[in-house]
Amino acid sequence: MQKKERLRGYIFSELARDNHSGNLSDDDSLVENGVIDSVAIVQLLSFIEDNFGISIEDEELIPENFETINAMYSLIQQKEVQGDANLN
Amino acid sequence: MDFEWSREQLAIYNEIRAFAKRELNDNLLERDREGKFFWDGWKKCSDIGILGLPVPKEYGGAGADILTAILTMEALGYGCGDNGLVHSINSHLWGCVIPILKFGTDKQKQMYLPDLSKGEIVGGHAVTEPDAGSDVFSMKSSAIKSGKNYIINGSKSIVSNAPIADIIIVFAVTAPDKGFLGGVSAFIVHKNTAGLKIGNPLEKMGLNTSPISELFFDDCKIPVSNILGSEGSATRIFQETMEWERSCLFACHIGVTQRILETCVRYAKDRKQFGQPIGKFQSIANKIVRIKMNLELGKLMLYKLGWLKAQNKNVMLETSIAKLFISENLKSAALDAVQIHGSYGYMKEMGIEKELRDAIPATIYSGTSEIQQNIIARCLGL
Repeated sequence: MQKKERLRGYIFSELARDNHSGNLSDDDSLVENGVIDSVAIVQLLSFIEDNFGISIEDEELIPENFETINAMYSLIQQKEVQGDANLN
Repeated sequence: MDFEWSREQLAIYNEIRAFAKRELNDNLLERDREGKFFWDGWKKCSDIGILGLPVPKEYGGAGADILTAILTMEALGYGCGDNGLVHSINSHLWGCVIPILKFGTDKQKQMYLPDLSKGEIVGGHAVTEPDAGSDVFSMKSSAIKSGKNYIINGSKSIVSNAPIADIIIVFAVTAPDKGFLGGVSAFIVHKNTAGLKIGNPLEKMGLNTSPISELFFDDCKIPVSNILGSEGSATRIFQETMEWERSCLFACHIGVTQRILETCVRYAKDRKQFGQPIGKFQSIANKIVRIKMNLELGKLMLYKLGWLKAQNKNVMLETSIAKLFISENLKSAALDAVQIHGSYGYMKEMGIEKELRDAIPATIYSGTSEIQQNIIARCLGL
């Protein structure tokens, strides 16, 4: 849950305008609400890759994985598990 | 902190600078007047390895890392007065060679990189549309999968190298509901593909020797194998292209600014009025001081950007700062140069006004100054 809070914190302190944090849930669309655009997505990818030690493939850059905070967190967890599986 | 370039890098810089001064400045004003692309110059740049600068040697390139590429392009910008040729070389390299190098399949790399590196095929890059400039991901050109092909419909505007390109990286919407998150793809399109019409060269204010035109797609069939990267990966491809372009093309601008500076210093020492060189008057000297100061600051930012990119760091902020600063200062340096040279600066014969006409779009292409400021503001969390 700490990782999710870090993710949320980054998005709403660095990327969001007009301080949406009080209004948007983890299931609300960040694209439709103007939090993420084509500039912000690049920053976000970099944050996720640098801070969670995972690599996002091109084909994973889709709305299903980045539309909401819950979607992103699921992807991060999934990639971490895959990363552990590869190590084993 | 070590600011030294390696001996090898400096040798390359000196070689390219001397080569460009010696080989790429014939009939500059005539070619500018006639809007003629300098094919001989292109061939000479190919022979010396510039056209495959970042391409690994296994594909026939020079295998230059980002910092060496930046220094090489700075040398080219300084030595070559044909700013249009330099612009076309940059479009070829960062708009076409880099996307294929970074995102192409092994087969695509084998097919295109050797000939691109030799300059035997010319590359272009088509993303802008009449209603999608700064807001590039609002593009409308579509690519619909149909069997073994994608069918592209739409148009692209302001495509550098389009009239002379053999292949063009074309961005089109493959999933309208996804937008920039997986909705746009990039394709390698050959110039003679049925359904593709290349418009006539557009007349511009400057960079007259770098041809630009529109592209029109009417049920243009592109093999599925010509998609670059995976479907929907255009955001990453575009971002990578911009990072290389905003560093290496603007490295050329550092070179041009150096050339403008030296021209101004020479003139300010030679031209005498009221019994002394005009450089002794502060109103002239201060303009030249500002050019020098901004040139050195631009270099520092550019080299830092190159170093960060070589470390695989996120360079979105630094790229925008460097591009904004260097392009704005190139434009103001060129304007100051005209002013310093007085009436002679305004006359075509001296070539100073050409530098200004060629410098003006620097704050427009590769993302306008306004967009760079937006990006920097976003990176600051504003």
